[in-house]
Amino acid sequence: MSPLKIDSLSLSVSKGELVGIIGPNGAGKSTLLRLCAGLLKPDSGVISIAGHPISNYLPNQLAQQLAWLEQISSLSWPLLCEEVVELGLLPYSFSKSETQLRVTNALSRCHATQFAKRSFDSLSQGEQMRVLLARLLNAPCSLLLADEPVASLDLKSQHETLIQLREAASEQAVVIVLHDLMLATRYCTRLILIDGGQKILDGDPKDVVSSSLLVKSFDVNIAWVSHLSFSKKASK
Amino acid sequence: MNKTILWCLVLVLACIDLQLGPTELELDKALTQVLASIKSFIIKDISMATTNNIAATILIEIRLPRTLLAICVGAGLALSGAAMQSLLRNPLASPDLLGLSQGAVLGAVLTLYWGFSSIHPLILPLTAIASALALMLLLIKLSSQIGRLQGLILAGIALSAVLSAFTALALNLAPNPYALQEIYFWLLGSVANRSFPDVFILLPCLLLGGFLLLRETSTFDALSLGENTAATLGFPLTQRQPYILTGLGLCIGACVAVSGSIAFVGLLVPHFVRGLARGLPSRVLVLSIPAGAALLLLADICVQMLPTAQELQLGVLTAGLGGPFFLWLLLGGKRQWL
Repeated sequence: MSPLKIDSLSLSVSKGELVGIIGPNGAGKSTLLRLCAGLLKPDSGVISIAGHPISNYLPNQLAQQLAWLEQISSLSWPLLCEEVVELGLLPYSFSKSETQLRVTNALSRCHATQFAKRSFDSLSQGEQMRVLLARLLNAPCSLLLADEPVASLDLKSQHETLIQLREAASEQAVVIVLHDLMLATRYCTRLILIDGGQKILDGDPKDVVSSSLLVKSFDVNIAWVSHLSFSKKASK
Repeated sequence: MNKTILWCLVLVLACIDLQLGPTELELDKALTQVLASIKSFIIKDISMATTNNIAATILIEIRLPRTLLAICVGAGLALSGAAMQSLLRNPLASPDLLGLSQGAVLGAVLTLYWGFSSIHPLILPLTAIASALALMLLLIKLSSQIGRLQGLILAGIALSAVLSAFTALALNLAPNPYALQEIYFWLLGSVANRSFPDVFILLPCLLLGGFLLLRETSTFDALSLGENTAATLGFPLTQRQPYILTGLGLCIGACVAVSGSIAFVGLLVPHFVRGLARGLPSRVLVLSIPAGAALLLLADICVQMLPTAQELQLGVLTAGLGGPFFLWLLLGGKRQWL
């Protein structure tokens, strides 16, 4: 289906991690994420969540293990924001009051309470992302997957989104695809560089971004200005 | 709340529809007779049942099937339209998009063309249902091979073009003007001059199909976030699609089989409902049922009240009035719903 290929790649992610997958376009980042979500089936190899291969789960059981945020999210119908957030609970059979409580909590956690009764379509992209994040974080599952969650957001929304995901990572394992290396270094607890369907680097963000392999993969020169020194200069 | 209002509307319109017909009929008298004959049937007093009850016969044998068919066909077409739009995530979708209704139409037209339909009145609807189901199997096979919804739409359009061409061919080669007229009139769609066997063919298919579609309401809701997100929410289309298509095939096939192709109901009603109640597909599906029934009853009342030389076919009215109404929805204040 997809021309991209992931080849002999092995990794494990655990609770408490916010893993950023970086790499040039066409490296196989989204394919990797889709494989993890069970949207694509690997030709060989096994993907396991909580100790069980995902192919052993029923669709509904797998849905209770992970939540997925699409790269481009548009709705087919004009739904209310609270309805969108409630859709995140579809895999679970909560009572009506419990559902309502969880939706309210998720909205307030993402600073989107004021949008609850508004139509999703009437919001700006940044506001829509807050609602979609609430939908994602609403699910009490062990693994969160987000494909380029900050791609089309302004600076403030980018930071807010990543702060939310970082917070979620204290309870869950979070894997996201990112293009912005600065944001990746700042918020992720671990970075994985993928190129040509293979894992090139995997480790602490600072080590990954300072590696010469990163420059080779992206095929551009990268100059790093430390955050700290930059702000010192600015204050002088 | 909206649901209750709509069902009450259906009830009122059904009562009006029952009053209408070429013969004057006092409804209360007819009802007393019906009750009397039921009573006599229960106490097995045949002598009482055979006494003068023409009014009851007209009511039960002629008008009741017509009203029931208007309700069922309207509900069935609207439900399939809503399901089709939710499945394909496309506001333009209607029961005839994937060729299911054209399949049923072709089956029916061929029985008219070869004259099989005159052998037994049930041959036409049964053939129509069978051909809709055959097409449904083909669609399920195609959808499992194509995988993506976009591809399914295109395949359905290709299929319906071929089927429409064959229907046109049957019209083109019609052996005599009478056959041509018969086919053409049937194509326009109507619920007049039907009888209880038609209702009995329609009901089981509609109930089973409706059950299958209403069981998938969560799938439709999840689909509003997109195919991939729906899959990660536990509703992978590859698994749900066969059930949905079977439900659609049964509903559409049965409706077309007994009433011909009544245009626009399946497209219009979900849009109307979406304007009435906010957008979750599950709610649109549930509300489309009474709304469709009410709309078709209203249309049936109109064709009977209009002083035309020959009674209009239902399809003429639904398309003729449905089109402008749809434009009004599109241009008017309800635009945000489309």
